[in-house]
Formats: sequence, structure tokens, C-alpha cells
Amino acid sequence: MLTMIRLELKKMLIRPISLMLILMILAVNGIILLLNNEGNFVTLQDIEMQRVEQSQYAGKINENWIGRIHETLKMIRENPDNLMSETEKARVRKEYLPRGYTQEHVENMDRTAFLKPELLNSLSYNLLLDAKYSAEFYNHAQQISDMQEELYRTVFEGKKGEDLATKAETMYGYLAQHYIAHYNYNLGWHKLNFMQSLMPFTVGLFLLVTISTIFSREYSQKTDSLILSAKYGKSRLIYAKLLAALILASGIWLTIQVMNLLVIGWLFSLQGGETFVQDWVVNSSPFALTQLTNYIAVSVVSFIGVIFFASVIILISAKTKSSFVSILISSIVLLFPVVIPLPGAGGVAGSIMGETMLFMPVRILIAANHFTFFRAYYILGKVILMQWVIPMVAIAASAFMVTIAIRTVKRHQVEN
Amino acid sequence: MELKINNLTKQYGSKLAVDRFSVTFTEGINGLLGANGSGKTTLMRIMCDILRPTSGEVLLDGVNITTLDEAYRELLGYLPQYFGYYPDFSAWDFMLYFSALKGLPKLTAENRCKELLDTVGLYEVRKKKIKTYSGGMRQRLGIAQALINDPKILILDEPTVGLDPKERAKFRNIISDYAIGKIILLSTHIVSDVEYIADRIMIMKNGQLSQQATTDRICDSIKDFVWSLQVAPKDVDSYNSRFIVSNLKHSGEMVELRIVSEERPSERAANVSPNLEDLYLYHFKGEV
Ligand SMILES: Nc1ncnc2c1ncn2[C@@H]1O[C@H](COP(=O)(O)OP(=O)(O)OP(=O)(O)O)[C@@H](O)[C@H]1O
Ligand SMILES: [Mg+2]
Repeated sequence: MLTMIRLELKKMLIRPISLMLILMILAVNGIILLLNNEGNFVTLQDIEMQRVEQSQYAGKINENWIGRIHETLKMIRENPDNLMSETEKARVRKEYLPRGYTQEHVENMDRTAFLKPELLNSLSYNLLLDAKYSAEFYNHAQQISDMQEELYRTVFEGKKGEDLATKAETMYGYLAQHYIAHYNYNLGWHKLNFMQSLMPFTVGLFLLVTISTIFSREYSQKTDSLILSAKYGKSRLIYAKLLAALILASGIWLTIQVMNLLVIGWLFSLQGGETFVQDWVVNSSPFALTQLTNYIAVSVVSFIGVIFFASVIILISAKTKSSFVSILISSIVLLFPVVIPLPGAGGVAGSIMGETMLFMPVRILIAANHFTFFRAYYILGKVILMQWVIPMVAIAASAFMVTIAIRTVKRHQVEN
Repeated sequence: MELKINNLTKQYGSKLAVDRFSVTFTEGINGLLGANGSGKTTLMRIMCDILRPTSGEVLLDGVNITTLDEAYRELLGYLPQYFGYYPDFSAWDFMLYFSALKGLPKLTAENRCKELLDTVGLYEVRKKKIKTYSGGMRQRLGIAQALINDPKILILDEPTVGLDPKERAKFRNIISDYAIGKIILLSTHIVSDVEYIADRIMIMKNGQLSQQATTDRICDSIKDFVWSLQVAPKDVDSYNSRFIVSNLKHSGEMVELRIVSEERPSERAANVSPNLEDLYLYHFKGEV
């Protein structure tokens, strides 16, 4: 069995195209790790500066902390050194008028409008604003709680609406009222989360090229007659192949994850694992997740995603007669959900589409977005969170597809 | 041990590739002769459990081979007519891979692979990638692969294709030595491949078994049908169009013809003893 697995791995991996692809993927992943949001290479100094500056405010977000942030901000804003000269103020006022502001408004503008640009652009001031925004954590949670509750009660009638609303209310209510969020520097964790969106083009692409050949290549290069007439060709070999595929899939996934952790840990540091994840714009997670627990949850789902992804490839490979066609079909089936953008919340079609997308293997492989909003299904009178349903469906679908693949190979007929 | 083919039929659309084929193979070398498209490969695939027949069955000592499944394939060695290889494997990898597939323990496998690669003359180049091999070398690797598990049933589909005369002779020796106590089925349309080594010969035509006998008796059916005749060169064309001419030899002014014909082609024709080539031509007159 070990010999079979080893040689199956060799078949898929020790090919010029596979080896080239590995190097390419590691290079691309590596380069993107070193880039910031604007697409420039990050520097250790910049990151260290931000880390030191932001770490000052590390701590629990409570009355005390909020008070302190507001106090500091007030001090800075009131510091005459940070204010413009009178002539500059006059110039700013003039600029406001043509933009449609009333004379009265302009007369009464407070001092924040007259802070020096150097201050406005400074890292320390912006971090303070970020902290001030974070101070709103509990209020934001309460707003979402009210909104979601309202939404579910109006969209669904009766017990279903009631139950869903209660669930949303409970989760966000907990964040608003009982949870204690932490603030700290956490750039590394944001980067880690961002790297998940690259998975389809690293792990995904690699699996498409390597695993696609698993069965289809035996057919196309006419080794099927040799294999299927051998003693274990219709039994153990198939399992050896599946194991090899599993090793390959988890191997590349793990390689990328470890690479990300190491590079990010070195460059950005993994400080801030205890901080909250919600920004209430793109991430309104109902879960009391910290960056660390969020990363773990995302990784678990992403790993299930990689297995799901590989299972689809395996099934297609078992069903197609040529490895080229197999790669082609797999690419279309698996990658199109990332290439086409999610439609805006437009009508029934849009919402069905959006719902389906959540279940696409490639989306599950990314996984990072699944934890950023509240979604639950009402199944047999019970509210079940989407975040539970999806891994279960993915596991069941993988098992089903692999079973079909095994059956297909066992029944494969050698013809011309 | 006996391998029984029972009324086997394989239909592709309206084409009957194998047509109600029944035969019983016993120990020894069985030569399966047939023209292109006569159904040899299809029959062999069914016998190797990699193609489902439309109807009929293959029984090993009375049990259907699909029921025996692994237990049957454990006894089987198969050299397909067309087979591929893993381009980035060396011959050594290839042999180890099939040893594992055929259930040999690792140590036994290595010894066996060494021995077989040596037999087919590939041991020296075992570490080279198969894609660098010549056609004949690949064919020999295929033969070695078929023998790994010391099969009791060995099915060889045109095993000598691509082999040079020396290798062909060597192959015949390997198989003759190997045959004792085993069922060997060897398909070919090269008569000399089986003429010397086969114990029995079967002739397959249009998917059907058209004749079978032991090698020394197989020609009996045409023993009165082979003639030798000297004709003038200008008459050769006329004989060629009317009869199966299995050989043509110039001797002085005249041409000596060997003719396969149920009736005497000419008053001057003399009966000669038939060989397998004559028999083949007799069966596949229109087709070759
Ligand atoms: N997959 C298929 N689909 C349709 N027809 C087929 C298929 N396989 C074989 N045939 C037909 O069945 C017949 C027997 O083919 P087969 O390959 O068994 O002959 P063969 O005796 O091995 O010939 P050769 O000496 O050329 O190898 C041929 O007429 C062939 O065209
Ligand atoms: Mg053939």
C-alpha cells in the first residue's frame, strides 16, 4: 500500500508542469505576502512603527478605555500647536462656501475642521481615530441586533421569522451587552485573513493541475488495462490513489498556511490575537470571535473546503476520458464562482445565486467570508447557523462524490 | 485448471466483435490466430475482466471470473495489445508499482523485478525513464510486467509486435519455459510466433471460432488442398486471380507456385503437405 501511495504521488507530482507550478505558486504567494494594500512592498520599519504606536492603546474596550481614548483625542484636538493659523482657517472657510455649505454652518464649524494637515495625515492621529471607532463596538453590535431582528420579523412570517429574529438578536445582543472586546495592534491577523482569498489561485490551481490526472490520465494514456487487470487494481489501488490525493491536497494547503503564518509572523507579528474581528462594514460577524479563534474557525472550514474541492476534481477525473478535458471541466466548475463577482442583492435570482455561492467548493476553500455575517436556516423547526450547515453539506457531498468516483472506476470498461 | 469461455458475445452497435464464442482453454500454450478486426483483443479484454460482455460468461473451474474478482486477477497476467506507460517512471518504478498492485510483498517484489528485467534485457537501463525507451524496449517491459505475479493464466495480445527477430526468438523461449502447468493464450497474426511453441491453435474469424486443433493436427483440414505447380511467368497473374497463392518462387525460366485450393488448380499440380501459413491464408482469403 505504501509503495502504491508513494508511486501515485510521484505520478501526480513529479511532472515538469506540477513542479513548475509549485514554484510559481510559492513565489506568487510569497510576493503577495510582502505587499501592502496599495501594492507596494511593506517595510519592517513602517510596520514596527504602527505596532508600537497602536500597542499603546492595547486593552479591554470598557468605560475606562473609551474614556481614555476620547480624552486623548480631545487633548490633541485642543492643542493649539495642532491648529491652523488664522489665515489658513479663513482660507478653509472660503473653500467650504462654494461647496454648498451655508454661511452659518461655516461660521460654526468646530476645531476639527481646522486641524493641521500634518496631524490629519499622521499615523498616530489615524490610529487614534481607529481606536475611537472601535470604542463604538458595542453600539454597532446593538444597531445590527435591532436591524436584523426587524428584518427577520418582516421578511418571514410566524414562528420562522420569530425564531430567526430571536437567534440574531441573541447573538448580536451578546456582543453588545456581555462581550468584552479587546483592542490592540493586529495587522498580522488581517493579513492572514486576506491571504485566504488567494487560496483558489494557489492551492486550487495546484490541485486542478495535479489531481485532475488521477483517473483520467490512466484512461487517456492507456494504462487502465494494466491497472484494472491487476489484483488490487479495482480495490486497494483506488484507495491508494484517493489517499495520495488527500495527502497532496492537505500537503499543499498546509504548506501555504504554514508559509503564511511564518512570513506574517516574522513581518507583521501575530500580536493581537485577542482582538475583535468586526469592522461593521464588511465584517459584521455575529460570533464572539477573536482574531485567533476566527483564524482557527476559518482554517477548519477552509480545510473542509479543500477536501470538497479535491473531491469534485476526483469525480470529474473518474468520469472523463482525457486529463485535459478533466482539467478544463474542473476549472470551469470550480473556479468560476470566484471569477464572477457576487451579484448585488438583486431580487430573488440574486439571492438564490448568492446563497448557492456560499456552498461552492472554492468559496468554502476561502472560508474567510463565511464568518462575517449572520445567516441561519430554518430546518425542521430549528434554527441552524449557516456556518454549521456548510461544513456538514461539504463533508456529505465530498463523501458522496468520492463514492461515485470509486464506483465509476471499478466499472470502467477498457475500449478503443 | 480450465478456463471456459461460454457462448461469449460482445456487440458494438450493430457490429458483433465477438460472436457466440465458446472454447475451453487447458494448460499449455494456446495460439489465437485471426486477421485484423477478427475480435481477438475484445475477447482477451473480456477474459481479463476489464470489459463486460454483452452476453455469455468466462468460467475458471466452473466459477464466473467476475465472481472470483480479486482471486481471479491474482492468477492473471495480461499484456494488452495497446498499453501506455508513465512517462516519468523508470522501468524500476514501473515494475515496483505493478508488483504492489499485484500484491507482492516488498522484498519478494524487488527480487522478482530484478530477475524479470534481467530476463527481458532491461536490467541495465532500469533507472532510465520509460519515455526514453524504444518501442521494442517498452514491449519487453510490458512482457516483464505481465509475468510479475508468476501468473497461472497468461494472456498476451500480440506480444511480439515491435520485437526484432532475435528478441522474438528469445520471447518464444521465455514463454515455452514458462508454460508448464499454466494456461497461456497468445494472439497474433504472425504465424511463426505460434507455429513452433503453441500446443493448440484456434482460428478466430469475424468474432467466431472457426477452427481449433492441436498444432500438429491443425493443418489436417487442408491436407489435400495445398499444391505445388510450375508455370510460365505469363500465367502467374491468371493463377493469382483465381487461387490463393501462398508462395511464389522463380526457378530458371519457370515460376514455382504454392497454391491453396480445394480443387486441383491444374493437371500438373502436385499435392504437398500444408503448413500453418497455408491454413491462415485458407481461412482469411478475402481479408489479407
Ligand atoms: N470500442 C469499440 N467500438 C466499436 N467497435 C469496436 C470497438 N472495439 C472493437 N470494435 C470492433 O470490433 C471488432 C474486433 O476488434 P478487435 O480489436 O477485437 O480485433 P482484433 O482481432 O484484436 O484486431 P487486430 O488484429 O487488428 O488487433 C473490429 O471490427 C472493431 O472495429
Ligand atoms: Mg487486437
